Amino acid sequence: MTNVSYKMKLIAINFFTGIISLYFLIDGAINSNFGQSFWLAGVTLAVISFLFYVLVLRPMDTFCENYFDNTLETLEKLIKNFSKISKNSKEYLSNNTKELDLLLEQDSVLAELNFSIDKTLKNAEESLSYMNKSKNMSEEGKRVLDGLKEAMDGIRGAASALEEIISVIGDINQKTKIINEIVFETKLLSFNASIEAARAGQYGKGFAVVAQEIGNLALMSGKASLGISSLLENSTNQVKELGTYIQEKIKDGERSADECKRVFVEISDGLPSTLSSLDTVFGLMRKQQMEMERIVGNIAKLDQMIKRDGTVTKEMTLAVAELTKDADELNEHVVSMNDFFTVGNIVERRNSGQQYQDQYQYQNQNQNQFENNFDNGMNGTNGSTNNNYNSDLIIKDGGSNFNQDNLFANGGKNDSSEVNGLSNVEQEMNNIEDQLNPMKEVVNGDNVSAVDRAREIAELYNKSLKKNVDTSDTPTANDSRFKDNE
Amino acid sequence: MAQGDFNLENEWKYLIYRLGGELYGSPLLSVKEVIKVVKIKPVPYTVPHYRGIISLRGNIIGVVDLRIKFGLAPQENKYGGNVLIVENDEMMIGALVDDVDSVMALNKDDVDLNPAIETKIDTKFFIGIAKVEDSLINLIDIAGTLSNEDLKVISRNRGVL
Amino acid sequence: MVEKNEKYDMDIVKCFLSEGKELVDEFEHVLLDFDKGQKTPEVIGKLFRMMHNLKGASKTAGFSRLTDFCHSIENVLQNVRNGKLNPSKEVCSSLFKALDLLKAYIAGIGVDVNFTTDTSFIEKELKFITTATVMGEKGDQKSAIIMTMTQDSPVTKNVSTIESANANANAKPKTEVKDVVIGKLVEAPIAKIAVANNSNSISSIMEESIVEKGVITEDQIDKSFQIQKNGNGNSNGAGAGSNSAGTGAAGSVREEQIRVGLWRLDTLINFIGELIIYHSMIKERTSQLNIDDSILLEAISYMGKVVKEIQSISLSLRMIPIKSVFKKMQRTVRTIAELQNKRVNFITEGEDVELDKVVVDMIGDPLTHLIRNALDHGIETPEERIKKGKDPEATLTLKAEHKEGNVYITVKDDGRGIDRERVWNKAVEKGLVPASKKRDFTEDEMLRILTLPGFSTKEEVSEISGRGVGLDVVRTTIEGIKGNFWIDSTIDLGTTFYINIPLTLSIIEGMVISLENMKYVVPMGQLVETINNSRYITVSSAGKGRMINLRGEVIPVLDLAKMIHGSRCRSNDDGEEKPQADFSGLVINYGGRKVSLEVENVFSQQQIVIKNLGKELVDIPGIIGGFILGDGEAGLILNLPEIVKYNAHLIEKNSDKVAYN
Repeated sequence: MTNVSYKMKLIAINFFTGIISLYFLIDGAINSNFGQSFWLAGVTLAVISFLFYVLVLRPMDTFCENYFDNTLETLEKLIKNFSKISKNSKEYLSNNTKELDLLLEQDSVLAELNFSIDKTLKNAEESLSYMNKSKNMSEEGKRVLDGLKEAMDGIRGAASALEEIISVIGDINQKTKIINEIVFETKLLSFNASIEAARAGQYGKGFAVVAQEIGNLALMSGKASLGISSLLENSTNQVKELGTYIQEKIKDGERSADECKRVFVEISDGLPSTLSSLDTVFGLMRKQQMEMERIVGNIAKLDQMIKRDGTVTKEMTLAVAELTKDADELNEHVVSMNDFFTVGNIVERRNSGQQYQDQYQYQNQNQNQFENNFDNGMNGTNGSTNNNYNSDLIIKDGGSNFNQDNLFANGGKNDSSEVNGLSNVEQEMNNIEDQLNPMKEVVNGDNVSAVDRAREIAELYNKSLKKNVDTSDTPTANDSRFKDNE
Repeated sequence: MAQGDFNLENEWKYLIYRLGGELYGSPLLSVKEVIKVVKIKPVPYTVPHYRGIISLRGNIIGVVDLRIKFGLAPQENKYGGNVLIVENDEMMIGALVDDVDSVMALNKDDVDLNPAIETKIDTKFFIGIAKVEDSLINLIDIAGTLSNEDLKVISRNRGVL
Repeated sequence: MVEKNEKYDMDIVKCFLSEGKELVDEFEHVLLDFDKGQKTPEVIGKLFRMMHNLKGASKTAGFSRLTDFCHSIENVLQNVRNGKLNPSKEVCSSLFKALDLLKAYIAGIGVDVNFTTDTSFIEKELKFITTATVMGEKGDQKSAIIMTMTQDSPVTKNVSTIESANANANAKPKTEVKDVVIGKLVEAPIAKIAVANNSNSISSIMEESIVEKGVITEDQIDKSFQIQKNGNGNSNGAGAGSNSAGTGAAGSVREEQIRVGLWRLDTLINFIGELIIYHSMIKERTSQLNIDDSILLEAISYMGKVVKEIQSISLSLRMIPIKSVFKKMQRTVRTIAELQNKRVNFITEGEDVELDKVVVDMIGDPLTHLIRNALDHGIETPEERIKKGKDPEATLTLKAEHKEGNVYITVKDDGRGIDRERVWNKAVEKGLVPASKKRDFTEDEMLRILTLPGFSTKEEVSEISGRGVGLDVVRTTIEGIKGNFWIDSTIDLGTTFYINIPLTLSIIEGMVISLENMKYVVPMGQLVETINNSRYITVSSAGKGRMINLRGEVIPVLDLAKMIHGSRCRSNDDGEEKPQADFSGLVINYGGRKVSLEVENVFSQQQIVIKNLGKELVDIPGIIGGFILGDGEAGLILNLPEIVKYNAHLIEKNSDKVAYN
């Protein structure tokens, strides 16, 4: 890991060194002093810049790859341009106009880079807001789930009320049994009355009819009571079924709700770390942007200064030589680091980025699943099998969530190393600035001779500008921009 | 009581009861009372169709299982059914039946006095078969069939004597 | 039916009838004692006072003729008391005759207050006795009586009187009744002819008259019998009604005591039995429900006491001492011995033993028959006895005693005994038994032949016994009341008839037990003790069944369930053997030795109301009757010795001698 942070440090140095050397390359091409060495430095810096892209921008890309694609493209363009530069270095050296074009072009590349960083930042911001939103939503979801649970309890209460109904039906059934008993007794009574009536002979005739009628009544009420009994039995069974069904469903629903809640908790537990990571990245990116702006600004200033004063060239050359020396050292490190940053590693990182994205999708799926679960819980019929399946799935998801945690942890560490790296970059920037500041002082504190030399440079510059106006289509715009800067 | 004693000239009342899915009928007047089954206590050394004794308002009355007596499968449910209290010249005895159906007035035209059927019931006590609506009713002289002799003869055979 | 009558105050008449009856009964008892030798002044004084009282009561009620009759009896007693008259057998005989007429007279008044009868012949006899005594010629007393009676033909007169009193009350075909009367008079015991409420006096007189004199026409007997009929309690209303319709001024009187139909008493006892059942139900239920209401519990407990009291009263309602039957026997013995010139010392024991009314009523006939048998066949004439070296006066003992919850009645004589050979030969001759099977019969069984229908050893039909309907009737009657009858005899030493009958037919003290989850009751009287079989060492040896050592006595253990249900007691529904410790043993006395019967459970001892079982169960062995438990369930009361007897093959294995009877 120390390698990484060190690497980052080197990348940062190399990047800026590259940019500065680019300046010198252009400058050199203009002045035709250091053609060869500038070409070599330019190539090395291009490689370093590429590495910077891979190591710094790509990890960010793992968060929102799509938004980084543009950056990638831009950098690819940059590389192309670098190769162009290396290819046509002699032409740059011999042809001022062309070099100026390149310079202008480089300027636009920087602008483009700046723009894509802006865009990334914007996207990251967006992503952050999405994250926050989803955090809020998962909180909301939890709350809704709690409400659901309460509702479930209510339903359970209703189910126990159902049981009461069953017991009431049982009571009714008991009473019906008594009625049956009475019917039975009445039947016997009517038989016995018939017998008595028959014994009474002629005198019993009238009573025999009565007995018969009682018997008929008993028969009728017997049938009715039988009907009631069977109805009661049916309804008891139905209510019982309903009761057990509801109980089952409540259990299913509760189980689903519990699962969902757990998932939400996991999501919302995971989100803060994601968010903080994103925050960090975001902050870093903003800083980066600021640095970029400052670099661009400095380059512009440098440009201006160069235009204003040619005399500093010698000192600058020295400085550049020093820088070049540093760049060489850096280059050595870069070469040794190439072993570390194999293509496989990069692919892995890309993949883990993909994984995270997948994870994110899984989370979405979980949310969907929860919704499904809930629906299932409420709809019921084929719920239990589905639920089992779902819970399996959820457990799987849980596993991947675990992975996600790991990933986040890793991500966090990466971030911290990135932070380290970037702070190192910042430090280096400061160093660069520190180194540039004496140059500025030299430039600012120049006497007349220096002013004269600068005038010469300016004249040269103007010449080349004039040439450039003749050869290029776009110098006016650039010119005006530079003019604005002035 | 012989067959001739039953007045089939005119309408005559029969108590219709069920035994093993079949309908049986006996003269209403030979039945003294219909009661529901209470616990029947078996008596040792008695004939198989003598199910035991019950108490009826402070008296002890023997109960005969008509199913076994008529050669039908014994009733599975021990405590179901009715007991017809039958009184004949000799004694009072209970007859266990599945269920009492109704009291029916039969007339001569309803009854076939010499049906060509085979039955385990003594022809002496078999009155005939009545056809009412779609069902056939075996008419039995229950008082005659539940005689003391019937219960005693076999009990001597089975007894430990 | 009591109507107003000018001549008599019906209230006083009723009093008189009730009092008179008591006095006459009492008089008879005392007179019997007197006759047997208790000729103390106290007894004579008692007799005199009673007769005096009766005379007074009769006078008050206005029956002058009866008063005169009482007076003449009183005179005799007066002379005896004064020592003027020697209370000889003849005097007693005259007094008995007078008593019988007195009874008939009172009974007659009970039917019709205007009833009178001619008492003159007895009065004359009594007068003669008194005179004869005065004359001091003791030896002539009897012949004097006979002379008097023959001269006046008193019986004929008497009967005519009765006849005239009943002129209108005769509807029954005469010949039919006549046959019965003649038959009975000759052959049957006195009690048989006593159709009247509680008076057999007239028929007795008739009988004796016939026997002694042979001077009576059939027609007269018919008529005399009819008044007896009319005097019968159940028909007196109708009889008197038709009677009084003829005379116009007749009234009917019933005695003060209320006669209650036996069925009514039985119904009462049934209900009391149910009351006991329901009381025990309530008691059980309250303890089950843990009811803690002291007032309620107290009430239930008090109710229990009342119920028990009612029960014992209801029980006593049916129980009467056997005394009355025994007294009758004394008369019979006396009469027959006199007739056959046999000298008999008749001893009765256990007169106070109480028996169910039904049993007492039913036991009378068989007992009379047995006593006649003993006198006729068993006891020799004094001459014969002297030849055999016996006391010329034979001893005949009638004894009743409680034993094992039953009552044992024995009739024992020291007569000639039964010759089994003769019995056997006779039986073969009559075709009752196959001659070849003689060896199969034990001595007891040979005697049992006597109880076969149609057996009589007496060559000629005697007047007293020996019509071929004898011991078999006795046996059937006794078995009809769930009793046992057997005979034991030794030649020249005498014969003993044994009767074993249950104490009562309605309530017993019983032990509730269970066999295979079914409850039964065992009479307490049959039990010696209840033990836990497993607590005694099991002794079993080859060929013998299970036996236990009960305090030094080795007794067999039998499985009661096996004997009754045919299945093992010690197994539940699954056929699994339960541990032996669960089972109790009921130790009973069987033929002089103890037997332990294994039962599932012994619950409680309680009073059990015996319920009659249907006719179809009469022959089922080992069952005394039925009972109804608190839950309304019917059950059986077992007769354990009988069950063991019917399963004797089980016990024979492990005992050398099986003796029952």
